[in-house]
Amino acid sequence: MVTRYDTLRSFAFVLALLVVGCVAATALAQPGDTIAQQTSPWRNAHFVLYAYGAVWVGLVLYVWRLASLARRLDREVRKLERAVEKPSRKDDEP
Amino acid sequence: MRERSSLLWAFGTILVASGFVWSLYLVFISTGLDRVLGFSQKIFYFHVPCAWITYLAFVVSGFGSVAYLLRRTSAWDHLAYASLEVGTVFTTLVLVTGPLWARSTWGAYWVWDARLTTTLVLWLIEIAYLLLRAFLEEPGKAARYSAVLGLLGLIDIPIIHYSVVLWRGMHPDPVVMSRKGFGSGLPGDFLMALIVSLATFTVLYVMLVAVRFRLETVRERVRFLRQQALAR
Repeated sequence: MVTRYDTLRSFAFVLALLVVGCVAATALAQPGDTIAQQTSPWRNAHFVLYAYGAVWVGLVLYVWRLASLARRLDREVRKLERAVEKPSRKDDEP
Repeated sequence: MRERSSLLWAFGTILVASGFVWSLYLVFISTGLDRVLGFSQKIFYFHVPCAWITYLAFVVSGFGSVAYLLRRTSAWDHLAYASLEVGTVFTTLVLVTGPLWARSTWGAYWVWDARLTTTLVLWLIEIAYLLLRAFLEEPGKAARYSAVLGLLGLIDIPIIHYSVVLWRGMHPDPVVMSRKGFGSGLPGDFLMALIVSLATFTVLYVMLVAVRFRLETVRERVRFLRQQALAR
């Protein structure tokens, strides 16, 4: 079962990764090797593929998350409805 | 009623799927290469719609937050939450596609430019909102506090949009919503590809928010049933 602590830890990890990534990325600047106008127009095609790939992966992951949340809530609703119905059936018995 | 709902979902799914196919055709086959940026300019057709959805999501969430604070009806809170969560996904995509484009154009994944920094601030506000919702146990309190936080985030939207004008940095000036008019900075075929992509992403956003809204309604029912079960 996923606890709130796990959620907080996941968020903290993603945040730390992002901050470290931003700081590291500023140090990775290599002006001149991929500046436009000085290179072939097709040279940076892999960045386009990564960007489109990231969008697709991100959207698929989110839709998958919604689907698993829907299944979990559906199971809980059925379980709770059975639990709520049971005592009332017992009350009906002579 | 259920049949009509299923038909609507099917129609929406077909619309989104065909929209994506059409926009990919327009982006990679129909439109030419940008004279200056070359092939890397193609990221524009997904990066800008993701940013547009970020703006839209916050406006809808802000509207829902104000309506909740005035009316205290849970449906408005569900709308605000659903919209902001979906918006967070698209803001994350903006922060991923943007640096990839930046690396190919500026030579660096990240610079502390005004537009990039304010977008990062917006993403952090979204994460704070989601954490607030996850950790506040009382639903009423969670709804109230997060509504206020969502409105604070709404203030960041015009700052992000006008940051390129107010503080000259590396990020290009707006070409879509420019001062001369919508899309005036773009050639016709580029504008067409962008409009198709924008429309597809908007329909996708509406569908995702509708699904998320429904899940929040179900979650409210779960809370109600739990209280009933405990009372017995």
